[in-house]
Formats: sequence, structure tokens, C-alpha cells
Amino acid sequence: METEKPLIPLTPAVFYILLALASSEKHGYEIMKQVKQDSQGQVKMGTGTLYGSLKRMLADGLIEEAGEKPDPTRADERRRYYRLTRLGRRAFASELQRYAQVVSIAGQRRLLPTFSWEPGV
Amino acid sequence: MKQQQDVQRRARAERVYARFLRLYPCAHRRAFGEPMLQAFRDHYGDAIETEGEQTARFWLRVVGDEGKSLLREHIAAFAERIWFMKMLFVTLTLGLWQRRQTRRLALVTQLCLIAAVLLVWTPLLVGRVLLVTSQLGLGLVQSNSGSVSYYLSAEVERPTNQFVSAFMQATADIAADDLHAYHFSSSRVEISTLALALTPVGASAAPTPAFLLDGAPAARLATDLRVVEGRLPVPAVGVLEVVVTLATADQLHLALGAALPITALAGQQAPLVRVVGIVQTVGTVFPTKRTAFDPANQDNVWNYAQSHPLDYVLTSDEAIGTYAYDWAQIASVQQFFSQSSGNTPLPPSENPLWQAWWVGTTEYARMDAQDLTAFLSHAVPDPTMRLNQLLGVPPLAQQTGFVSADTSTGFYQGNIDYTDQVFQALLSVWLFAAIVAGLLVGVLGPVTGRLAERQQSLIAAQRDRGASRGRVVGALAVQALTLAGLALFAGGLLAMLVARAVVAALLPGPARPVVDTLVGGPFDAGLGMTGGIAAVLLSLAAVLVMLCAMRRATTPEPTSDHQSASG
Repeated sequence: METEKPLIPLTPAVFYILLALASSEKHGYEIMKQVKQDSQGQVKMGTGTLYGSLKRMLADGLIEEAGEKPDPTRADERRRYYRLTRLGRRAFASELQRYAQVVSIAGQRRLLPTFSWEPGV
Repeated sequence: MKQQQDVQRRARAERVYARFLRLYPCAHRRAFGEPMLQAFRDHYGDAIETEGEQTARFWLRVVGDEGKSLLREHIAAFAERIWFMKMLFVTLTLGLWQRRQTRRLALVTQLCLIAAVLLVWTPLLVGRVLLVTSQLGLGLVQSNSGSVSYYLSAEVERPTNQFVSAFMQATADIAADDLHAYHFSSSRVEISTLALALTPVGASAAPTPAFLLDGAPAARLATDLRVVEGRLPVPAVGVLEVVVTLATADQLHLALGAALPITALAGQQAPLVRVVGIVQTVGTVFPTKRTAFDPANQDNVWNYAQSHPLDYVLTSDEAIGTYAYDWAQIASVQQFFSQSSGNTPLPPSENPLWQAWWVGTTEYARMDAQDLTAFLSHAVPDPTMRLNQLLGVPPLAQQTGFVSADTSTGFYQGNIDYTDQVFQALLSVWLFAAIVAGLLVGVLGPVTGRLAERQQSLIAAQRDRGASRGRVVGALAVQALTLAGLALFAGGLLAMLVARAVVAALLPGPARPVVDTLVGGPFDAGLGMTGGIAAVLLSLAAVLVMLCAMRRATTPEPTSDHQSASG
């Protein structure tokens, strides 16, 4: 049986790719844009880094190809889409749980910074 | 217009990025090249054309990211290759001995290889020992425990102090049984082997033999020489009387009664060498080309004499003990040259004084330690052809008790025999090696083919795990090389042991010390090295045969695919 344990903790690149694919299957450039958006511009993944990570994630069984689909914006181009596998989902959930635990512990120890919420800002 | 420029710029950027992609490992490029290019195209469009990012900044980011990725992918590809080969090697090569189906065949293959190496290497080792020891009887080889043979090779034309001291050191080493290969070469060294009848001043007059002219009996002088002026030399105490040829007298500007300066030995008075006569040669005793000397023995001396016509100083030919072979005296000849020719030394071949002293050439190259030491200590006469020729003429031969049969003819003939034997032995061994190789190929082909067939399941498993056919064949090559390497090591070791045993059984007791040196190891001896080369070539041929068989066995048969497809 496959287990996600050896894969945890995930690298930031892998984590953000899983996060990007968690909602829906995406092709390479969509993943790049989603990662940039999810990390609020802090993680800017280049093409080389993205496909290197995708290759390793495919090998680890975290993601799989969802087949090729035509690009809706360009009729003559086909794109390769990726989606999470069951292992990928479990690994992502485990990682989120780990983050939650860390945040919880940090909260209990009053280590979290205080945020001031100002609507409209 | 702007749109057209944008299209051109985008096409150019894509071309540049496509070049980047070529730097990735092949497998990565095949798997992700196209989607990467597509992603780049999208990225470029959004960043430059939509968001208006600066081109330089965009490329800086791309280059930085691709640089890191390239490095990472190449490291990963390399690690994967290593891991794959290691895995294949462990599975296939070591697996040979672990699996029952392949164990026996692997053993047969290994034994065949070892036997072939042994068969090729052993005769060469045994042959070398026997060949060398067969020369013991000819006196060409000196056998001692821990060392075998040497030739003290002195190629001499003109004496130099360095040569003399090196040569003397060598003879001292030989006398002390420190035997190893010696070789001296000097274009300026020659050793006079015919003793000059010098008697130290104050010594009692030694009995002198009848006068000889360059080895010819005095009786022939009347027919072969014409005295131009003066007289023939007679033995005298403390004075060497010499006659010189007319040509020599002209070259050296020697007049009748002229003295040749000879440096005194330490603690002794200098001998006086005086010209008492000038002669012309008219007969065959002193041919300007020495073809008249024993043409049957066309050795180096004879060849040298042919190309170097010489004149002679004619002396009485009594050996003079310390003077005759004293190296300091020979060295002094050089000083004399320097004096006669001023500060400009004459070319060796035109050195007139040397011609004056040249009364024979000694070829020390073929003398063994015992003979050489004896010769240098004046215990025996010079055994070279030239002196033999002289000594063969009575009455000197009788006086010295020299036996003509033990002349240099034996040495030279021995060397010719030796060379012939070496050549024949080598030829036989290579022929034998070729036959063994043929047999080995005949046996190994089918055996290794079956071996590969029995590994089919393993190979198929590796192929399923993604190993390409090239990698499988590569691993099988490692397998074949491992078998051949083991055979070379084991076969060489066995060859040494077998050769040692065979030679010890064949050789007479006194010659056995030779074995220790010659069969010290298969890589030591000269012919052992030849055997090693033959064994390596044989092993390589075996590896090739094994590989071909394995390749055939791992090639999928097209007919079976066709049949299954049609079925």
C-alpha cells in the first residue's frame, strides 16, 4: 500500500503545486499562475522548476496526467493537464494537518503575531 | 506594424528557449520539452505583452531558473544512471551465482576462460625459462640465486674517463655478485685489446715471445711489409719500440725516433714509446679493409672494420700486465689527442692517434660475468674474434694455452641460435594462442547464449522497470568483463604456479635458481609479458563472443510478435 509518510514534509514547490491542483486539474502554465497567486507573489516558479517538480511528483505518484485537452484559447494547441492522485490528496491533507498543528501549538504558546483587521484595506 | 514586431520577438524568444531546452538530459527533454515550451510561450505572452515586464528582467529570471533546473536534472539523471547500472550489475552479474538455473553455466564459462588463459600463458613462461637456461651451456647466461643473466655491454669506440669509471664500477659490481643488466654506450670509447709490450722501468726483462706484427708471424713480415725507413721493433726494457705505417706517420707528423707521450701510472714511471720504423703494407696481413679476417664470422668487428679502414701501429705483442688494461693509460690517449690536435678535438673516425692505437676491438657485450671478470683481471685472454684470430696464430696461442674452439665464434653462434629460438618460440606460442582462442570462441558462443537465455526472466523484469535494451546489454557487458577479469587473474596466477612446477621438474638442479627470478610473477618476465598480452587479447575476444551471444539472446524475435499479432 502506498503511503504519504515518507513524502512529508513537502517542499514549498511541491506544496504549492498540490495546492494549485487541489481544486481542479490544470496545465503547466495555469499551475505557475496559480502558485504565484496562492503565494501572493512570494513563490515565482519558473518553467524549469515547475516541470522538474512535476516530474518528481509524477514519479512519486502524487499527481498524474489527466490526458491532453485542447487549449480553449487556441484551437490548434493541445495541453497536458495534471491532477492529484489519491496519494497526492492524502499527502496534501497530511501536510495541511501538520501546518495546522504547528499553528495551533504556536497559538497556544502565544507565538503568533497579532493581526489588525481593517476592512477595506 | 507593432503586432508584427511582437510576433517576431516572440518567435525569437521561443527559439532561444528551445535552445535552452536542448541542454536538458535527453529523457527529461523527451518527456517535458513540448509542454515546457508551451508554458514558456504563455509566460512570455503574459509577462512581456500583457503585463509589460521588462525584457531583460524577464530573461534574467528565466536564465536563473533554467540554470538551477538544468543542474538539478543533470545530477538526477547521473544518479539515476549510476543507480540503474548498479542495480543491473547486482541483479545480472552477481545474480549469476545466486540462481540455480545460471550457476552451473556461469561456472562452465568461468572455467573455460581460466583454462584458456592458463593454456596461453603457461607455455610462454615455461618457454622463457627453458630458453634462457638453455643458454647456460653456451656461457651466455650467468645463473645465481635471485638473479639470472646480464650482458655487460660496452660499445666502445673511444675512451672517456666517465665511461672507464662506469665500466670499472660495473665490473666491481659483477665481481661482488651484484648482477644486473649493464649497458654502456659511448661513441668515444675504444679499448685496445692487444697488449703493448711495455715493461715498467726497473723491472727485470721478462721473456718475450717472438716478434709478431699485428698477430702475424715474423716470417711473413718479409713478404707483407716493406720497411720504408728505420727497423722493426725489438723487445726492450722500459721502452716500447713501434713501427708505424706511412699513412699514420704522415697524419701524426711522426718522424723516426719520435716519442709518443704516455701518462705515467700512479707510482710508476711513464713508459716510453718510440717510433723505430716506418713501413708500408703490401700483402694481406694488414688489409686496409679487414675482409681478410675470418669472413665466416661477420660480426660487428668485421662490419666495423669494413667501413673503417685503418692503419696500424705495429708493436711487439707481449701482454704487459697492468699497463695493458689500465684504464688510466687508455684515458691518457685522449690527452695525447688533445695535445696533438690543439683545442679542437678531431672527429672520432678521423682521429689519427686512435688509429695508431687501434689494434683490435673488444666486444664485451656477449661476455658473461665470469669471463669478463677473468678477462679484466688478466686471468684469461680476450675471447673476442679479433684476438682469437691473433691468438689462433702460433706460437702465442700455444703460450697462452688458448683453445681455439672456445672462441667468440661460439658466443656469436650462441647468440644467433638464441635469437632464432626466441623467434621460433614466440611464433609457436602465438599460433598456439590462436588455436586456443578459436576453441574458446567455439565453446563460449553457445554456452553464453544459453546463459543469457536463462537470464531472460531477469532481463524482462529489468526491462519492465524501464531499463532500455542498451542498458541491459551494457550490464551484460559488465557481466562478461567480470568473468573475463576473474579468469585473467586466476589464470595468470595458475600459469605462474604451473610454470614454476614444470620448470623445476625439467631443469637440472644447478639451474633452478633461474626459476625464482624468471617465474617471479606472470607480469615480470619478458615472455611472461607476451603471454600476458596474449591472455588479455584472448579475454577480450571472449568478451566479444559472449556479448554477441548475449545480444542475440536478448533480441526480441520479430516472428513471434507477428504470430501473436496475427493470432
